[in-house]
Amino acid sequence: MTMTRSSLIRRILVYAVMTCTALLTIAPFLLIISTSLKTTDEINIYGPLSLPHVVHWDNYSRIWEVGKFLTYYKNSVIVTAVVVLFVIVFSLLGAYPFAYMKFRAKGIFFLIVLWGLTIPLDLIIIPLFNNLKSMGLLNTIWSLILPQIAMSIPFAIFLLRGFMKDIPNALLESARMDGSTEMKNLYYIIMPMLYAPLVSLIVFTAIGTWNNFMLPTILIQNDHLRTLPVGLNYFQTKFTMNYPMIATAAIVSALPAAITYIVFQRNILSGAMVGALKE
Amino acid sequence: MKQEAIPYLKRIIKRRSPEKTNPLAYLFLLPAFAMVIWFMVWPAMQTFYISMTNWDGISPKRFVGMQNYIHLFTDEPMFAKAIKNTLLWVLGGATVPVWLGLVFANLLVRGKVKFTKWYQLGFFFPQIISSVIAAVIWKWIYDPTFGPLSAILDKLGIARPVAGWLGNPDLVMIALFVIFVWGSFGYTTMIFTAALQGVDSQLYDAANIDGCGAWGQFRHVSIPGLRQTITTVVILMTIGSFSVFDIVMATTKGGPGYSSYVISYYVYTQGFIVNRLGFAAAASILLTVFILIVSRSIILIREKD
Repeated sequence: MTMTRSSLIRRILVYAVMTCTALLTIAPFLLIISTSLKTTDEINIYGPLSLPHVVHWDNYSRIWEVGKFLTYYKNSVIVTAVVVLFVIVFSLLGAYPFAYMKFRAKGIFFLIVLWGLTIPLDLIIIPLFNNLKSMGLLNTIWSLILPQIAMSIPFAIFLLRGFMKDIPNALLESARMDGSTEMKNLYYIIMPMLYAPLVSLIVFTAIGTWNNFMLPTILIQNDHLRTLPVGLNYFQTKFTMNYPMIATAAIVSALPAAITYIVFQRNILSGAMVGALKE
Repeated sequence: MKQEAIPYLKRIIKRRSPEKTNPLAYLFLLPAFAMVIWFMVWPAMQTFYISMTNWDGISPKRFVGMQNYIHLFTDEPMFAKAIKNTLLWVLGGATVPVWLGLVFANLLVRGKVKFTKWYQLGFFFPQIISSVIAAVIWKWIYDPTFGPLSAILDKLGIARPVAGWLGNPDLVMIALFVIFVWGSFGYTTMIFTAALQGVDSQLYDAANIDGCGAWGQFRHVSIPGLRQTITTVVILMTIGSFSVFDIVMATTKGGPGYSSYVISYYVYTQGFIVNRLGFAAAASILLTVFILIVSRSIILIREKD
């Protein structure tokens, strides 16, 4: 009897702790949603905690006029789509020889991959800026796309190589006997078997590119080339005291990532996980 | 002499190469490695050279040897502050979110909590939005006049710092670190939850029979069972903490004064605001060296035990 009571209390405690933590974690989001539906006057009178007395959707229509969020969206979509496409193609090609082919200097090539996994962006950003400048690419969308393709490749190769190694080599050997080329092997045998990790990798690379901040902050000066995070940061420095507007901007910026997360939840979780658990 | 050397060299090369080198392999590697070498390896080498020059980005580089490095350590209080803040951040970032993740994962899995997915959804949500959005939201939360945190404390009648949190040199790093923990503990929880589900549940039953309580099971079964995962997560969090930039840039810009400078932000201001590129390059090399030393040491320590 006492056993069950103490274990019941323990269960209730566990749920209480988890629920409180979850609520505290999402509280900032609930607060900015509430703020985005208010006017500045309402905040001045009732403070930041009260719920909106009258729901004001105006901020959501005004935001597109006062900030260039449609442009930021467009830039983020273009950069993310192109980066993901090239990262996937280049990394599939790049990972394949590591798993299935014999070639010299394999160790050195793999060392470059591992090196690329650990270095911070700071290490390359200064010459990168000057190199792009001398190539005439500074302040173009290519200055965002090309370096981000390069910087996403080491992780992608590392990940895909890990999964490719799990596919038995015998499968390829028999295909080779039948006269299949390496390119056909990759396309018709390996790629279909890597469907799940590829989806995770796409989502993972897309979110990383979409959220990148340091690179576009440094490489882009034109307002019409800013991506969403840089645009949001620029917006908040322009509208310092207008918190309903800033809250609206934050929500508008968070929306694509939130929707992606809800739709691809399982892929994102496994994508984030394979990165950590796949040794 | 020469003629004799050639077949000898050929033999060495032949002996050292694997039985069959497939030249097609290099064709497959070409696009990926051309990108990586052109946009990462080569710039990293350039950074190494720039770090030994006195360069403002426009006039010709002047070679100064190790002078920038010496100057950084002896005569640059801003950099000293940045190192101190970064190392403290790494110390906190490699421990606090890891512990929180272990505890919550253990509660979720061992507590046999229902709706685990929903809790994870809540915990993990801050991780997927960009850290700039997080910074914008928290800048408002911390605002001393309009922010909800002040409003809550005032309602409860608890005294609060007059300059707010981000405006107070003593509190600003803690306030920023809270944003980091908020954004990252869901990630560690998720990874540990997945790993914990793979730990043999019979081990827990055995520990239970031996008289281990919940804490004992956590200490003697969960922690050893997650050993490899803990090492990986600690290293990931360490690397992430070393290169923290977004949160600082989007909230305080290193302020007030330079009390919230971190190395990454120092590199940015030196390299792109005040145009002391030699200093910036030297600082970025030091940052990389720090990352390599610390992550290697963690691996060594964990393997030694």
